[in-house]
Amino acid sequence: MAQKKLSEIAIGESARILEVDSGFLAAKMADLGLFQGNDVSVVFKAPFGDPMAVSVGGTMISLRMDEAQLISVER
Amino acid sequence: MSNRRCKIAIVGNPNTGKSTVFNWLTGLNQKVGNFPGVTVDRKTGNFKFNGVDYEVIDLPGTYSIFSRSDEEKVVRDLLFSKEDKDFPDIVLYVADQTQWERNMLLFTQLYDLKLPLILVRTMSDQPCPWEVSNHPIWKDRLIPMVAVNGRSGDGIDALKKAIHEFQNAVALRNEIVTGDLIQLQEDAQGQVENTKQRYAWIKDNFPRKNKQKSNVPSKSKWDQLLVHPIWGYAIFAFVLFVIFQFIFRFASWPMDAIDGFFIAISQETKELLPAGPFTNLLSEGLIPGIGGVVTFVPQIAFLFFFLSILEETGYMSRVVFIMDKLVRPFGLNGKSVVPLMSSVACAIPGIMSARTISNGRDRLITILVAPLMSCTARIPLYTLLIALVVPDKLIGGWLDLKGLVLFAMYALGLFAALFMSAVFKWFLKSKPAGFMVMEIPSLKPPMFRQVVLTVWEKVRVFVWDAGKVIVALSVILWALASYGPSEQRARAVDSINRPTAMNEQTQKEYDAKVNAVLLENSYIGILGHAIEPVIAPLGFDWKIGISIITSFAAREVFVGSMATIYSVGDDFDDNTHLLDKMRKDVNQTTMQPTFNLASGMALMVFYVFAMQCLATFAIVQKETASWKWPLIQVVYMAILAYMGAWITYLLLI
Repeated sequence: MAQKKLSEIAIGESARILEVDSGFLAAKMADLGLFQGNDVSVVFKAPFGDPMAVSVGGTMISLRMDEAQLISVER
Repeated sequence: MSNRRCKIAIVGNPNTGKSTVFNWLTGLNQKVGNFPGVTVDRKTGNFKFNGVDYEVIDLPGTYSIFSRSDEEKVVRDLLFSKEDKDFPDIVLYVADQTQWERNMLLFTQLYDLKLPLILVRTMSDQPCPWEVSNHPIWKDRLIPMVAVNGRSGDGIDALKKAIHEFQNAVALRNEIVTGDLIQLQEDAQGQVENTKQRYAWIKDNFPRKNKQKSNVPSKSKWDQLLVHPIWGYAIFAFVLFVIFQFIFRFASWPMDAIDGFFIAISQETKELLPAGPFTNLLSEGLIPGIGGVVTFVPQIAFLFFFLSILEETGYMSRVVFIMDKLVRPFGLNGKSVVPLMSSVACAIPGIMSARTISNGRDRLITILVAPLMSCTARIPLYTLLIALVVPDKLIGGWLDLKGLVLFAMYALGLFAALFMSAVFKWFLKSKPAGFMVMEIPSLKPPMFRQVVLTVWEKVRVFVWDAGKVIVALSVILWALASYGPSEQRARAVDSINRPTAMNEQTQKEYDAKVNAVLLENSYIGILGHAIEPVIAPLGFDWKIGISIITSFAAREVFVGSMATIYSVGDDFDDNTHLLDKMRKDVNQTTMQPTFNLASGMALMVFYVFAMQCLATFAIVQKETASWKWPLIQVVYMAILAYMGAWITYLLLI
């Protein structure tokens, strides 16, 4: 049950969201289903590893690395 | 509800087929404008059903009533203010049934805001992974639900019927989640909590049909290819290649036809009407001015045809995804890439397509630098000057110097665009930092109907809105080039030796000379002389000065003005005559050829940077809804052009 940042999760792996750093982006992310308790999986990453595409609740969302760093997850 | 207009607003998440429903309802009865104060498309349309007039407004897609961008604010402001003249009698909530869970968030918010709702379920031809139909919300007729197939239009009649029979049952609703949504606008943490409760309600009320299989979008084969480190870029390059091939190959035919048509009308007008200033205004100012607007239509139409296919299929968001990291250091984001690449064809559709960039600062930067990309209108100028001053030489035995110079001009434009983005990024601080948290829609085949309507809408916006400014300014430019102090002009014309025997050939030569001195002694000509000291350090004389001023209308005008000044007459289809005269011309200050390597290269560099396009000016004015930004753009590009040309001249002299 290691705690990690979403940005550190590899392609094809899933994780559960523990916390999203509060602030303006947290609300935006919550709209799309990125909030505590939901499962996310990393679908693919852009060349150079940034941004990444994650899937939550059947929706695919792109996140820049510094945005994915705001999300703590556990595997 | 009879005998008065009923107002309908279409609301929903992005990529749900909102616009498709709008287009099915209203057909071509649409208008596009801006919401006051912001450049967000305000699309309205109307239709009639059973004797009632319906006015439909297609609001921008949003995921939540809590607003972050200009688009979302527009939706919030309208739905929160019952006094607004656009406040709807009915809200059509469009939900994609393959993304039901996420789509229901905004729905529950609107439900709690007690808005009069009809639910429109799109993608009805696709399987829906959730238990949707049996919920009491629709069963108890609190909210009518209609399934619509955007591709075939199935369900649209049922939707019209539901609209017609709509009974407001708002009073019967209990709040799904308590909490004042209006007060929460400023409270990010409160929004997160409220949203979590809503998602919990959605999960309880619309369970998944198959508990085992969650519909995690598996990485499709296509996506593996489209975001691949090599294939992803190769495919994007290929797509651009195909688009440009089409534009270069096919846009020139209708453009030539349009030019020919307007020249014919202009001549016809001149012959039919009695000679005089009014006829001249009509035939030389107004008609060519309108022609100058219409001539852009093929390029805009072609480009938006392709861009809307890319958008419709969902490929555009893959391009944004793979390009984002590359352009981020320059203050751009992935969404700036396609507008900038489009500007290689023409900056106008490029700038218009920057509307997809939701971050205000990134969008402004993209618009400001887009005209630095070398567009097709620069080609005649590059070709003429390269032929004039660049020697025929192969470098290292195989690299053609002329080709290399042409390539260098394109590269220079690209580098300038990136460099200036970085400069603007530094100047313009963005309030909410730019972000890229966005949905990547699933790939799907494009809908032809949607594509055609997008093209039509963009062309109409350009012709009607930007067109007025272009025509007005080009008439002013024409007047300045056609009138001047009459005494001075008469004296200049008198000083030309009139050939004693007038035959067709000598008459033609005489007329060309008259035209040349008339332009030289027009207001623009006088201005061209006046700026000579300013442009002399760049190696330019007054003739180039005049052509620079006249070609502010459009870059390709430069060639035509040169032809007039060197009195080669109208038939400059064949450039050799003009080239010959330009080559022999001697600059009276430097006693060097007017067009030598240094001055010619300086002039090309000048045109790489200088704005020199009325239509771009007009579209920037429209797209930024201000005069400030287009003026800043003209000035910064002029400074860049002057400095660039000056350095080039000093390096090569």
